[in-house]
Amino acid sequence: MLSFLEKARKKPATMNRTMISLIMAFLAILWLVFSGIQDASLFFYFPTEVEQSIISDEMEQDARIRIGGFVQPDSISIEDEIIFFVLTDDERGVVRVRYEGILPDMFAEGQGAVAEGMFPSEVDGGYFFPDEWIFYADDIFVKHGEEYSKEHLDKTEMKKRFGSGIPSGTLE
Amino acid sequence: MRKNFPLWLILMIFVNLAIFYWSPPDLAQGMGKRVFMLYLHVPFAWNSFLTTVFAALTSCLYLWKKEPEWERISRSLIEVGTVSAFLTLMTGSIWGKMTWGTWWVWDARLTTMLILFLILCAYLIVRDVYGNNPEGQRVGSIISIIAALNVPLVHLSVNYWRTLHQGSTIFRQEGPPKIDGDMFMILLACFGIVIYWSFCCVKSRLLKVENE
Repeated sequence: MLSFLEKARKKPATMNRTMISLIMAFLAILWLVFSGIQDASLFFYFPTEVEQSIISDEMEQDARIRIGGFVQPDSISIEDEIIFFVLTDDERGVVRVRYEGILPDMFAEGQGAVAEGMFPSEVDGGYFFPDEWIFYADDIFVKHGEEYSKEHLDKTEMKKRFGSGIPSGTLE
Repeated sequence: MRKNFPLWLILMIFVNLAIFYWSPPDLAQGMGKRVFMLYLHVPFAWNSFLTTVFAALTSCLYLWKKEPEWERISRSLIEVGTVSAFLTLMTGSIWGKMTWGTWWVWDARLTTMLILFLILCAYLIVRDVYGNNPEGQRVGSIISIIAALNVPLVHLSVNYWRTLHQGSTIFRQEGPPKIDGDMFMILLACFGIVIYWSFCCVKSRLLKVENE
């Protein structure tokens, strides 16, 4: 497979050329990755930021974005296998999310979650409310906190810890 | 490693007991079948950082003193580091599927870790292309230093960028580690065993080179 490398090893004259091409390839990969990181550096928006850009009319419809926060307690409802829930954050920003599909095991109320999808401009089916912005998610990731603690804690403490996923949470 | 077989058997039994029997189940992630990933993923990640940094240090010593022994140590450290980085990505991927619900996302932590793995692979390819001559050893040394420059980027990625990966548990910027004491002890023991494993790998590699 790497026969060109074998040749390079035998012939010192071509070694430099091989070396230069390897370094070029390496730099190209680095460049690709770092330009990728610019996009990936902000993996998701907080609901507060999304709300603000909707209010200031900057939110693009049909653009793929990710929104991350924690699932508001008592907000999950299921209608005909379509799941509705509310993502919120510490600053009480609120985004309604609609999702059709299988949820990750750890998805729960109070748990951190990231939804990937868009605010569509057109919808077929009866779930579009023109006055209300509903986020149509097609992928849900669970975000968990960096804490590892033993299981025997009372329920209020548990809710506190669950909420700490994004950012240090305050659930009441 | 064959000579130390009884020792490794004892260590294996110890690790299995620690992970599946002594470890308390985690609050958010439930029983050991999820948390045991913590005891594999984290030690391998730390080990890949540690070996890469030490490889860069020995590479610097090689570039300075021109003694090929340093370069040999550096190369065997990188070999261990590459395996560790690969295992980090693999265990992380399985853990991600179990908790996040996805094998892979392009967030900053995962991407920078992949870059580290690719740089380590690039080192091994370059060293293989050149064979054992001073030029190859020099180029390899420089690549290992580049790899080590990437290590703080991987570690700090969760603090400086918004990621799906959770923040640091042990080396937090402020406040004490957010981990249960028993779990921390098991994590340290697993880390110790991984360190010992890489030490044995490096040692056997050096002995092999000496015998040739």
